[in-house]
Amino acid sequence: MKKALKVGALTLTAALALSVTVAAQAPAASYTCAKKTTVTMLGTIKPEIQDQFLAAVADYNKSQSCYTLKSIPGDRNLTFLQNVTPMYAAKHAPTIMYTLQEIPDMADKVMDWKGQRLTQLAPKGLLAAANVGGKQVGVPSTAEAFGLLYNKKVLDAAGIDPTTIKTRTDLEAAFKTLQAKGKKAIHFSAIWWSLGAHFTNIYHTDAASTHEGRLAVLDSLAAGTKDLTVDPVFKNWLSTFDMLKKYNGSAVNLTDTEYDASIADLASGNYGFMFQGNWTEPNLLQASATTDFGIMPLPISNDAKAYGNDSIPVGVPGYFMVDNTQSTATERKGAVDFLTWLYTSAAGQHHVSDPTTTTGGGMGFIPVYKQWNVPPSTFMSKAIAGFVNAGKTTEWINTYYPAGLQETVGKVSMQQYFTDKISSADLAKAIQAAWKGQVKTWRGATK
Amino acid sequence: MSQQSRSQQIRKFLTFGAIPLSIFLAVLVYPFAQGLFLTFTNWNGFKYTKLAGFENYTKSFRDPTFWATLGFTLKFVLVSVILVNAVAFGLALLVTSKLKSSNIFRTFFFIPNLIGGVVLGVIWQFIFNTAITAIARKFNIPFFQDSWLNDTNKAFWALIIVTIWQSSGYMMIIYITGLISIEQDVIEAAKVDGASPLRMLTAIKIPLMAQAFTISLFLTMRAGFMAYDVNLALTGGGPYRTTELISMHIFQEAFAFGHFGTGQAQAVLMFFMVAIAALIQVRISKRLEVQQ
Amino acid sequence: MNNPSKRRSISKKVIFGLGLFLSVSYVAPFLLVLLNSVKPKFDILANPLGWPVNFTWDNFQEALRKMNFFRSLVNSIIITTFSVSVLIIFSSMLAYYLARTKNKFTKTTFLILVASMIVPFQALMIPFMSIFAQFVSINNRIALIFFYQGFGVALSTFLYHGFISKIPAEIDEAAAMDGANDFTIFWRIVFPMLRPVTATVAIVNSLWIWNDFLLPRLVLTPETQTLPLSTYLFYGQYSTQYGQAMAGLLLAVLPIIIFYLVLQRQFISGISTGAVK
Repeated sequence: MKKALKVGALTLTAALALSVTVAAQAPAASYTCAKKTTVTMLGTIKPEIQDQFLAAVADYNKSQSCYTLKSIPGDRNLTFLQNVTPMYAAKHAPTIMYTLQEIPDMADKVMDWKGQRLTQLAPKGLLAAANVGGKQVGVPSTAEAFGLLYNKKVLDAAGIDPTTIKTRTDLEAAFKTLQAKGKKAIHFSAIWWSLGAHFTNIYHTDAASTHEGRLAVLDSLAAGTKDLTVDPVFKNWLSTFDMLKKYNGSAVNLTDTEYDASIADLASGNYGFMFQGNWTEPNLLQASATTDFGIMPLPISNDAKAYGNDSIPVGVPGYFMVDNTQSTATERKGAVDFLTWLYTSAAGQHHVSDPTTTTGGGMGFIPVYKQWNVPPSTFMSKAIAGFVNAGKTTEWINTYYPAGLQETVGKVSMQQYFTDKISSADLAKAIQAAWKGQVKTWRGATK
Repeated sequence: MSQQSRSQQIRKFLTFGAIPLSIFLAVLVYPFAQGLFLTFTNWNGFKYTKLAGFENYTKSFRDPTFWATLGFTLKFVLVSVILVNAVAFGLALLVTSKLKSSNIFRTFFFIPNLIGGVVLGVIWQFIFNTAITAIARKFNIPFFQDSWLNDTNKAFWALIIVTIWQSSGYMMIIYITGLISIEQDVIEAAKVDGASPLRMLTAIKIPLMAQAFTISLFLTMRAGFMAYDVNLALTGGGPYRTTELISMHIFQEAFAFGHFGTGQAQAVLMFFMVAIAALIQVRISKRLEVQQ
Repeated sequence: MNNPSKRRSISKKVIFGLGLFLSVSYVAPFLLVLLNSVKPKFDILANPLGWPVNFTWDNFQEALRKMNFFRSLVNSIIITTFSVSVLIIFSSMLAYYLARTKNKFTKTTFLILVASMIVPFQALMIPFMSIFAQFVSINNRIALIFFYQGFGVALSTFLYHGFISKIPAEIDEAAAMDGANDFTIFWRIVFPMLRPVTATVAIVNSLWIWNDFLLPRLVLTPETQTLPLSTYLFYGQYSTQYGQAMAGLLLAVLPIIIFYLVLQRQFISGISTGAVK
């Protein structure tokens, strides 16, 4: 965990660059078995691309005669642990599990991926976040990015070029231009996870220009010695928060229906921007297939050269883990076989990174494995590839948030500040209080 | 009956009680006892390594959010018990008032009971966030323009409204059963004596169906304390985690934060709390029944 | 106003109006669901109350397919029917025993049963799952039906107990003098008298078991999943397929509404026989 993601963005660049050049394809080993073994996976990667994922599963199940992969539905209202703990208690743990922040909790129960084909193909930097004490606990699914999403049609019509927005003042000017043209500037969502995991990450990732410096901020927060109110980056972040609130053109909605509402708004052509991630692209295109939706950094500083101002946070949203305590060796083999097929076979790669459509398509993932033959095709994934290739990416510090922290901060203090229930000083205090005394899992400490 | 011999009693037990009671012991009592034991350990959801004494309990008592949740839950239980029963009794009276259409009405009132809590919560979230605000904007009604679920107090009433909507039809059935079980000649006799409808209600109907009230009050109180699905799907505890009822809080504590020991301890505390409340309620109602 | 029949007809109209208004408000959410189940997703979000402009059956088609409707329906019917039938048998017998045999043991047992109704499932969920893991892995449907006996017996017994206590013990004592044994007395004489409360117990438990979510989700596999469980496919982590969710909801509720409407007649006749008695 210690070196996790240190060189993540760098190796991601390398992986993407490689993906264009290396086209070598290992021939899929054709194998036959007398009887099919059922391999289970908890949920799908995420419900939004469930159909596309299940299509890949069906394809895989047809492609060979040894394994049948089955997805056991999870409940979106429950956390990963809520879903998985009772299954472990019931001794029918799923063989494949997919998560991010609970990796430390699962480390002793899952298989070591060391030496497998996928770990050889994945960039070291991206594997690091799922390496617990030398054990390779999981392998990455994809890379995701968040920042300011924009409706290109709307920006074009208003004469705004997103690449020229370098500072907070520039952004405010763009907001004003949009309003002058009769458009709403931004749909700023108050969804708790967007605020708690992604918006807070903007501060944490811009807080220092080195990985070590960023972790040191977490250290001092956990020790209770950090005073956020005197941190200039935090002040910039707050000013940005205030500005987005000021230009927010949508009604506040603190519940889960907000996500679909925000998609509908940006797609409607009435809004210029929203703060979200590239996972919204399939939903956006479903709502408005003929519009291009782009992504750009959220500049919080007025110094264009400030660290992170010109970059988007790119990270791995989740890792695949394979249970090692309640599954059979055959089931584990099947799990590895499926995931290897998914990320190395021609058919699998199409399922992974073809753009998502209303009738199916692929999962629209940004590839993270070497030997990738499907180039990015949607407007947003091309934009992200551009940022990655230019080295303009920052880290997902939220990967290191202790379990429950983004709930506490996102559902309570961030939403309270969003709705003007507390002052900025209260917000700083609340964030400090949430961190104080946390076990330093980002330093490899165990609970 | 008391003159039954010992062997007779044992035979009766074996014939009628042995199977259901052993299943009950295995499915409910034994796991509960084991859960109780786990509250005295450092359990992490998967295993425990040592005994922890009362630490999980003292931690719970020191946790201010636990107390806040408790207060919110008590308020919810009180209001929902009163309103659900008032509405349900009203519906029962309406439906038994010898109206031609009363059968259809009764069916309609009962229908919300047919769907489960989570699905229902999703629909109502949609209604409060999307449908009602759309109407409010169209007709310019400021009170409804901002979603009720954004405000702690309004979200509380949203929970109450959905709870009434969902469970009043069910309690209505119990009251209907109670109202119908009153002997017709008693009512006829009262009519002959010239009793007013209101007097008939308070002096005859309600006392004669006291048992229906005992059952209904108990069931609504239990449902109130254990409410989880609607809470999770409708408000999700929001805004600002101020509408978390005790069940949801326990789930959060155990699984979102990984504090399985304290979560389990709070579940045990909740059980004793509800047990005491229920015993008091049943005892009082039974006493009132006896007095009739 | 002195004319009592006129006054009665006015009051009848008022009651009818009130009933109509309430009925509409109780059913309105379902109408909203029906209205939106035939619209594409973004039409629902843009105009939740509007008449469907781009009318489509796609939501229903998708819902039927994704839910694996007929298999889930059969699973739900099997699990609910068996669980409820066995519950009726066990709990009526237990209630009869507890109501008729008054001693310390039965009193304590009854109290424990009542108290158990307020045990939060969370407090025993995980120990429960580990105790019954093997049973579940052998046959999860039978295991689930068994679990429902344990979780449902308290409330059903409670309902029967209240009713049996009102039946004069002389009835079964008279039968006992005629030489019938307890078992025969119960099934031949007492149980038929319990019809109204049996209907209540059947309805209450059917609704609970049909709609139950947490326990089946822990116990069942995709092949044995119940209808309500299958409707959860439409709720994404972030985004909800509203159209499909609403179509799925209607499909999942339809069987239980039919069941209720069918049983309602028996329910009413049960109540009236109970009242005539």
